[in-house]
Amino acid sequence: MRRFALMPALVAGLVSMPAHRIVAQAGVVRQTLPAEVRRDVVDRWNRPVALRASDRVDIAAGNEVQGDVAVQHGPLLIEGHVAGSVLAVNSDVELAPTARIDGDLIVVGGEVDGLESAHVGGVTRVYHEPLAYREEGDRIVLVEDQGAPGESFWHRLERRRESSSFDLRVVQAGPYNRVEGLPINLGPSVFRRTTWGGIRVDAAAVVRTADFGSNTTGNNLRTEIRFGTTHGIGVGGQLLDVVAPVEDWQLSNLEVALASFLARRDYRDYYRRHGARGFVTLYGARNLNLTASYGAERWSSVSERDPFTLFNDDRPWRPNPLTDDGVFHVFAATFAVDTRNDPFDPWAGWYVDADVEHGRGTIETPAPTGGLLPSFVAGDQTQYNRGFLDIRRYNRLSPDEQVNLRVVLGGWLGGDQLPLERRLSVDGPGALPGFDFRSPRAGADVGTCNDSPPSPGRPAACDRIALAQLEVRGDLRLDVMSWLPDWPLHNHGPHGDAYWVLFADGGRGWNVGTPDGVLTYGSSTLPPLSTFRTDLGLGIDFGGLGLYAAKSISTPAEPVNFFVRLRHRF
Amino acid sequence: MRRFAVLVALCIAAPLSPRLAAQRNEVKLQIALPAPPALGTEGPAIATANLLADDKTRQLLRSGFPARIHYRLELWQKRRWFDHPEGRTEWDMLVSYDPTIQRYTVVRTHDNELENFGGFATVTSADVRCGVPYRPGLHPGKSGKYYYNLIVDVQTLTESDLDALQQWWLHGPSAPGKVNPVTTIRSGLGVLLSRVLGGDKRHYEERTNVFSVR
Repeated sequence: MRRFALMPALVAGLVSMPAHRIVAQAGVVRQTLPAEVRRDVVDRWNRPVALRASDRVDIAAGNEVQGDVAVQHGPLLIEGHVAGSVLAVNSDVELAPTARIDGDLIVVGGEVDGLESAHVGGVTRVYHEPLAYREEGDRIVLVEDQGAPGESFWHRLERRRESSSFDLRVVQAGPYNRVEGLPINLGPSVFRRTTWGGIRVDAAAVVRTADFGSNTTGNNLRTEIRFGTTHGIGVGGQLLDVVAPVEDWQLSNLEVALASFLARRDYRDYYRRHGARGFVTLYGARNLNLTASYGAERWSSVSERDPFTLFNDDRPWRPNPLTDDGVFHVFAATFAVDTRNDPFDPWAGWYVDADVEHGRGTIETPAPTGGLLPSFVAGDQTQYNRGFLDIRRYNRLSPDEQVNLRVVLGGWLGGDQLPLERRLSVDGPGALPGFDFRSPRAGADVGTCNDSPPSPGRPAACDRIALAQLEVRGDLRLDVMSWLPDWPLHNHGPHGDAYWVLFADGGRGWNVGTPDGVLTYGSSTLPPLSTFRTDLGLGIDFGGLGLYAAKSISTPAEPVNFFVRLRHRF
Repeated sequence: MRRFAVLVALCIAAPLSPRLAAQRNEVKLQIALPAPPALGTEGPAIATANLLADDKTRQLLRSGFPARIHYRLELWQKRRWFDHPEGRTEWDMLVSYDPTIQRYTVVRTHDNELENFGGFATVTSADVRCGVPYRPGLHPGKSGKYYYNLIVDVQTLTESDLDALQQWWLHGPSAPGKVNPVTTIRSGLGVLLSRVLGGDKRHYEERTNVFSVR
């Protein structure tokens, strides 16, 4: 018992032992500093420096050291200017508000005071663990580590991020869907950072769990070279043979995947892209992304398979609509601005996503359009211009309430008619939740621009769409999910983890051509607002899991729709 | 009728019993404002407690999966119509277990600054080190009404998703020794939902009252 009673005193004695004492017993201490830090400190110390000291150093206000400073034991007090880097080994550092260090500040085995008000031009690294070393004249030499040369995980991770990596990846290539089942990317990913930028290569075979006939596997090889470390220009290319969605702006991948896997309800349509593209992108600009690309691709129809679903396994899938098959050359420019304070739970800021596309190509097998539109004829040469704009504004009314607005405009801008791969719709829980997704409706459908009878699968067939969404959210001040320790959102203090949501939506799609007053309007005409579909709704959002009800206003006969979202609505 | 009563009692008891147990290790976030004369020149002190206290995080840390605690402090100005984000600052605390020295290493990274607090013998002592008040230096620059909003995300880093999946499959969603079916179902439901909603990340928020800077 007495032996145990002595332990705290012994531990206290070891902890309070000054750094140079540890140095003196270096033969028995175990180095706890990361190995690369130890090497870096020794290298820095042994370089020629302007000022080297083994005791207290005071660089007074108005004084300037032209070069690096290296101090052991210290303390080091800086009020003046160091036109280089500062290294403090087993020493505390005190910085006055007037202190200026042009280079790095590296402190090992000590504390730093006054960092928040002083100026450090380079990086600051503070390691509280002392360094074990021995002195040989002016030089210092590392004491051999008695322990295993361990390197912490986070440091390996940091180093890998900083230099290079090679991984064999098995990742989900897209949402679970009725065409592919689960698509999986399988292949290597190589990244190397250089002094002038970086290189990244991702090569993957796309494996599909649904029986995909003779083309069960696809491929996706993407490479990018970046010129610039923190910001600059990236140039890249891609070889691809993938299944892509016709529209992906309404619901998230996760929501689409779960609806497909659980309820046998696929909220997207798909086509096959096979070809190559190249791109140039600006990266690193705060809140801004700009990319231009050119691709030559063969687009073709794919039919639905019968992948496994957890429920409703006896029901047929909605047919995946046929598309306009052919070879297309596509020039595209995308522009995105994101000033939101948080992309997953935004309370303020703008989000703008815009793209413009010019496509030209040869139609080989046109899709039947149910007689609604002038269909392509096999061999048609076509060219089109298309645009898409998604603008969102988030406003915090008070600490507890917010009002958010979203406007989506998209579709035909010029040239020939759009191929079905580039047409749009406003239908279902991601756009107008008061109207059930692709449900049978009599007469002209202004959500998908299908006339009666619709094409199989009721494809998105609108030349243009317009959609406005408004929502008000507020804190219910209820900590509803505290009984679930794994729940990802726990709010503490003044507010809870559940929000009420009120929303209203309005939108429609239409075609461009000779006006018929129903589905087709002139190229410079917006359909009357009285023809827009509108709905109202309310719900509760538990940290991203939202339970909602929506009721159509423009078509009172539509029943109330109940739906679940796994993200904020927008 | 009796079955119904038992069911109702279970429904009431299920949320309450873990809540009482959880209060012992309840996560605490604190934003301590400086004295009023310094509100416009000094940032608040951010302190936390029990961010690494739950069994799952401890188990993952012990198994070699590092934890990342990401802090985001936002300064909002209260305005007539819409509140305006005046500024924000973000930093991380990284905690990892090094089996070679049998210590939990704690590192803070904030912009260009890195502070390595060294090794700690237990997760509790590492957790205490993470929670020591830190003053990040975000403060109003002009007069007006303001409030701070603090968001803390605790995430267990994994080498890859496959590792995490393997961990999940091998050890299951509940800690060893828990055989209560209500607890197991609740825990499984929580894990499933947390994965569906964005991975193994816990999200906490705290906010100050509105204060004035003259």
